[in-house]
Amino acid sequence: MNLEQLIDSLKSSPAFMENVTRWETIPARPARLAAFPPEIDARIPAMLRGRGVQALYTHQRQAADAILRGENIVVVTPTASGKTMCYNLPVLNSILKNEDTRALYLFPTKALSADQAHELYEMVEALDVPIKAYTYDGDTPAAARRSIRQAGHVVVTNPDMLHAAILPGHTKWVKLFENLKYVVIDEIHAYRGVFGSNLANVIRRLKRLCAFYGSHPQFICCSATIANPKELAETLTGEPMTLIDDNGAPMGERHIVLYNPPVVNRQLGIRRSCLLETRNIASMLVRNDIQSIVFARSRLHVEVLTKYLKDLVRGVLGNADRVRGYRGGYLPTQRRDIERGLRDGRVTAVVATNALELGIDIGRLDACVLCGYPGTIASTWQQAGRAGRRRGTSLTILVASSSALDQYIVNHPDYFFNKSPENALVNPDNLYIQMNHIKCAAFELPFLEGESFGGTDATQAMLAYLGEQGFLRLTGGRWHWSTEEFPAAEISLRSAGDENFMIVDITDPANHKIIGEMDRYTVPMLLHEQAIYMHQAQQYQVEKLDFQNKKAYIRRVDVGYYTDADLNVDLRVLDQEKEDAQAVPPRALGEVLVTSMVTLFKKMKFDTHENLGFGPVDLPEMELTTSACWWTLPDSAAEGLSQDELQGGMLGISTMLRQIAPLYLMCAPRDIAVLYRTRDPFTRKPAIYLYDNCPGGVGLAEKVYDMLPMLLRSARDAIAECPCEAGCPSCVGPAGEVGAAGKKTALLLLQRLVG
Amino acid sequence: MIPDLRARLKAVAKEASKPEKKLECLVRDERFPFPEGDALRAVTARDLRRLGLETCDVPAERVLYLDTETTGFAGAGTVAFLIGMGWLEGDEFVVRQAFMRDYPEEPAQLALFAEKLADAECIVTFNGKTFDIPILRDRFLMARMRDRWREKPHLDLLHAARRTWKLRLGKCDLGTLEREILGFAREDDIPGAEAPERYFKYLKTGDFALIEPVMRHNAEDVVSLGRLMAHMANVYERAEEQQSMLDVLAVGSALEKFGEPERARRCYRLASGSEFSALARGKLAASYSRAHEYAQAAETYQAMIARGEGGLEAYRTLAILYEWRLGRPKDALRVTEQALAKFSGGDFRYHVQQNDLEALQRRYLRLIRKE
Repeated sequence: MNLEQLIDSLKSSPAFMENVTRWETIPARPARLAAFPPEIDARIPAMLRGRGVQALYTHQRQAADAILRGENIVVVTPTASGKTMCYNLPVLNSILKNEDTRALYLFPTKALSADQAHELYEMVEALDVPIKAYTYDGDTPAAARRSIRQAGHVVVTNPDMLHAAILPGHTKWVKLFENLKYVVIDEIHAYRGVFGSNLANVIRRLKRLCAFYGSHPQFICCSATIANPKELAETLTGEPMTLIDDNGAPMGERHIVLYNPPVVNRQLGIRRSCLLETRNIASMLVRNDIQSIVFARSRLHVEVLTKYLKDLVRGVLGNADRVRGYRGGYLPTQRRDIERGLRDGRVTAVVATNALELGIDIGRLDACVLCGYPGTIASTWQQAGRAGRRRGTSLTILVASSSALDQYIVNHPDYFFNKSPENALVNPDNLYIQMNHIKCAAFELPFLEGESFGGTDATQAMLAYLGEQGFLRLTGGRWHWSTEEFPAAEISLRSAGDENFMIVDITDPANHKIIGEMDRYTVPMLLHEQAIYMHQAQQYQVEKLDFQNKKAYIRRVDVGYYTDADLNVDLRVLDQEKEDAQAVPPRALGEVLVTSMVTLFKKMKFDTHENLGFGPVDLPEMELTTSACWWTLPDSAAEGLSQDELQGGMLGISTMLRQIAPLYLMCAPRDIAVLYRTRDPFTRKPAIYLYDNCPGGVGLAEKVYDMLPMLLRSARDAIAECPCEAGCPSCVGPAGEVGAAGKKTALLLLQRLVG
Repeated sequence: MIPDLRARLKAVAKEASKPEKKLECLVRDERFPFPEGDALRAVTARDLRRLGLETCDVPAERVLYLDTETTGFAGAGTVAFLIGMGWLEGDEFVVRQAFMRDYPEEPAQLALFAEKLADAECIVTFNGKTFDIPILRDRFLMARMRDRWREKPHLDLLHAARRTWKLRLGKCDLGTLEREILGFAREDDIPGAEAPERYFKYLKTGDFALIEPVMRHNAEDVVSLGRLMAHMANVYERAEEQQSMLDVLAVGSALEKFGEPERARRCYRLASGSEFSALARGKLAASYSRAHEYAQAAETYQAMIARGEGGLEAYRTLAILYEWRLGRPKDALRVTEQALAKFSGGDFRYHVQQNDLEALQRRYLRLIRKE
């Protein structure tokens, strides 16, 4: 069956359709074309025609026109709608007209940089002109770096490299800075919260140096669909933006199906496993040779699904390589090979984590299966965007898990289809983050007295503070960097630690092989001793986890089960720095130690997923020292509530705060965490903690301390105004989690607290 | 911590700053008696070439010896707070030090240096290629004085010293060279790595006593550059008289690299009479090959084989020479046979890599067919 036949057969299958809660068909959309702008160098249209591009899509033309007018732009169009043309065209045009022109491309990850540089090389090669485009990242050999600095017209890099190498060493990049005409920031939706706030400050530093060298670059930003692309781009760059969001690319008919696995135990309300349902649906696609991508939410699920599908094709098609797994832990060469296989059709199906959510070019696929709701509406559309060809039909099936959030989404399809995607929030003026970057900026170029960093009033006060701390010295009207330290080396742009563990295969004693790596936060979950670790669907058992030297030693095994570890999170107050016992509600601010520990793992049988037993895990706790704000519920607030009701109400408030606090803190949801305890050992009362989810904290909890009543009132209003009956993911969470009275209790508690 | 920070922010912001204008920097000239003056005056373009600098004859007085003390390793925020310049003047070696007592003095300091730099026909440093010169160039850029910067022919004595003594001494920092080569040790010297910390302390306290040892250290570095230069020119002039045969070999290699193969081979031949015979003969044979003197090269390899030197590689290279350069395939075959007999047997002393052995066998078969 081809895809259209398959869609018809699914639609006429009662067994399939009875689990479908919504089948949405988005009609095909024809291309809207525009001529090449007359001002651009004639060699570019000629080259593009040679590559089969006769005209531009309307959004590409709008982008080119705006850039030629000297505007900064942000382009928002779906996956694979030709957005790279929006920047490659004006950049190449400028270099052709003046070979001194320089451009800087920023991508959030190294993998993306490599991919985009490749696309640019192809265009340059087709033009047959001596334009040089290079990737400059941690993998660039030292010997190549000098020629990149001198001769690279387009330097493709990531924010971390810009921050730690290019900006502090700007004197070696004179040619780039003096002639910088375009700064391209792709995938700006990836820059939210702490990462985005850091990037905005890195851009401030970049602009400061450009001013020193006398250049004034234009910014070209690209974003996936988010609610506030223009605002985000303006905050990140500090420049007014022209929004280009009227997509002219064609799109075939798209079918989006919400699928809820059938109930298998009516008494307990247990549904069939999302993993097994995904396996069935994906198998059907693979059997019909329909090129598909399957997104799973964890690395473990990726491996389990890859194994299932490989087993399938091994028998039927005789070639297990037609199914591949793809996730962050794979080595770059392996990933490149999978990407190529997808592009040239050797690979039928790929099972991926959200590592593939960003714009890595794998061409367009016919079908996409999501094993579980990705957590946000923006991510869901981004992943679904992997399926969809310019001509012909595509199919996306979202298979819900039994979690309350997933259940809510599949049972309330209108919520999903009508609600706009999330906002991406950043706060470049966060005092901590800004302070870090003022240090870096002072190292790069002394501050003038009265100079403002990114237009913030606090600059002078911060410079004075850094002067008092011995980092800077004010003489002759300038603030000079005045210590031996190299500030950029101390500051990481990303909140999660980057210390990776190596995974070593010791099956062959004479030939130990490194087969992958994993970040330290995931290691305790997947690489504890005795864990079954899956890599390209091969099972391995972890023999030894050397925490000190960051190595896991694994050996090939073939067993009928996989393992799944349990994570426990605990919080301890280290230092109470501030307290207001008279406030309503009484609250405190301080330093806390958040520990998370894996204590045991379950052995799960393949196919039936039945629990075969437990094993202990003996690993050190992972510790996060950060700042937190906490408040207690006075006895009067909890009066008349049972322990269960109180629990449901506090959980409901916590869920609401997790969603609403980022709006006021201008951070990403992952930057904060909320934890509640009905009997808190520190305060001896019911208490809720909100903490910064990164080492040392970035001042978010401190802000909460000041705005708590307002935040709680907003939470109260949001719950009261939510039209749901007894809780939904948009307010306190589904009734399945908070209990039938959860919403009511949460509201009651908030009313008693703040009126 | 956070509220405390806020409060302090407010407090320090109130303190007004008093900008001071200092248009000059501290300049100190010092003259050192310099018995090596004549040796420096005797340095010719040929001597410079042997040390790695291709240039014409430079009057000794126009060579600028240069060493800086900086606040760090690299990056735009690193400054060279002390620039030490040295030159020969009659019987004396003059060291002029330009020290910035504070950041606003940097333009004056750089201007002073620029004046001297403009006059120089060549500069001599120790590790200046990777350290001092890039930093100074950056400082001119940062001070918006790029038009005053001059690129000059530059001799980095660290590179020359490594070529000359690395084989024997292992490490070639200036201290080691002073002790082992120039034959003296400094008294009360501070480690150069202390300089940044002392400078920052000085900026805060104004206590110049912190800087005095840094000034002395820097001046001694500059004088040592002059002495080292005189000494090295002499070493290359009298290559064959070096006491260590390792030095003779190393100097030979450098002479060959910079275009004096005849003298290089004299060094190799001299060293081949020592305990470093294998190394010396290997270099000698390779040198003959490069000079297309294949017969002598072959003769040298034969001698090595006779002495049991050079392992499989000597056989292999000799066979290649016979076969392709000297047109003596029979001899090539004979040498290959000898090698096979020696290395493919079970004698563990002559154990070689499997793929080398296979290459040897292929060569043997090809030579047989050629027959």
